[in-house]
Amino acid sequence: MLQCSGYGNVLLRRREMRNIALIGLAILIVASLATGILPAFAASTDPQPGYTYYVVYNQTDGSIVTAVGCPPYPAACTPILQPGQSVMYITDQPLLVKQLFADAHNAKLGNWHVNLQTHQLVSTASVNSGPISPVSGIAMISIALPALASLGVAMLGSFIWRRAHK
Amino acid sequence: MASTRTITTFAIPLIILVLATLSTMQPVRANVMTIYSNHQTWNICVASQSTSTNYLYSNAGPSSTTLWVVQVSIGLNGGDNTQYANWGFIIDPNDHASYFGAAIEWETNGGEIYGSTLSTSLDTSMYLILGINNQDSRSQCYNVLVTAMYY
Repeated sequence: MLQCSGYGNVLLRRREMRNIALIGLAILIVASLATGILPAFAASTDPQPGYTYYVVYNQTDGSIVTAVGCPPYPAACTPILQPGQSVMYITDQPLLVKQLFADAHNAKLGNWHVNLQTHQLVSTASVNSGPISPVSGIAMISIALPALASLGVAMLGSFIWRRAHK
Repeated sequence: MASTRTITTFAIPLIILVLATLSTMQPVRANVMTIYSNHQTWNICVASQSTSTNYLYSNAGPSSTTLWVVQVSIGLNGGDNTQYANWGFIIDPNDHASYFGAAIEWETNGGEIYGSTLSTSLDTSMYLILGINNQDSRSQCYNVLVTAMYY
């Protein structure tokens, strides 16, 4: 009877270990997806290395006429300005570039303008509170998800280690 | 003996013919193609009912007489496909070697990529200027792909 109960415990424990291993494997797959594949999709509006970014705007109201991502040499990254237009180069502000082109990609270039007093490129959408923007969505996928997955993997590892040393 | 005479009869005129052909050939200079740029991509976003005009290349290649071949393609990048746009490019502001594409109606034609190739002989360096006019009520981004080569 005792032998039978011991054998049952071993079976139960093996099943538990197998379940833990399967859950661990699933978490590992999610983690690799989150850290590898998903950011690749999200990176479509990210600034490209070696590219030059600029906007052309109207001097009267600061409205954006065009936003350009220009490839490296031998490309020339020079707009032809109409009377009353100015150019602002924004290559050194990668976060701004990312947000601007994410909006432009969604046909929302009109959300942006140049503040003529501060000479800063600003988004009217970021001033107003509202639903989660695509940029925030990208940040959610590229930062929060891998972080949560990594935390899950770490917790699972700790749990398995503790069970093994019980 | 007969075979030797036959060979001589045919061989001598053949040699004369070959030499005559070679002597009438004009020497020509072999031109080597140089790839100036290969599939460089611009991302150009244009506000609603606005025009974006940009130098894609400036003072490019040799300043002596050169035959240029420049291929420019344009396609939608994000946004929606209910777009109506004009586009065109010139590769020499002085001689006006230019291409002005017909207005593109992506809404009726789908999301194709449109392109054209200009070939011209320039006495100066090459300047590639691209213009896009977005006639839609919403802004739109375009992918512009360029390959340029000269001989």
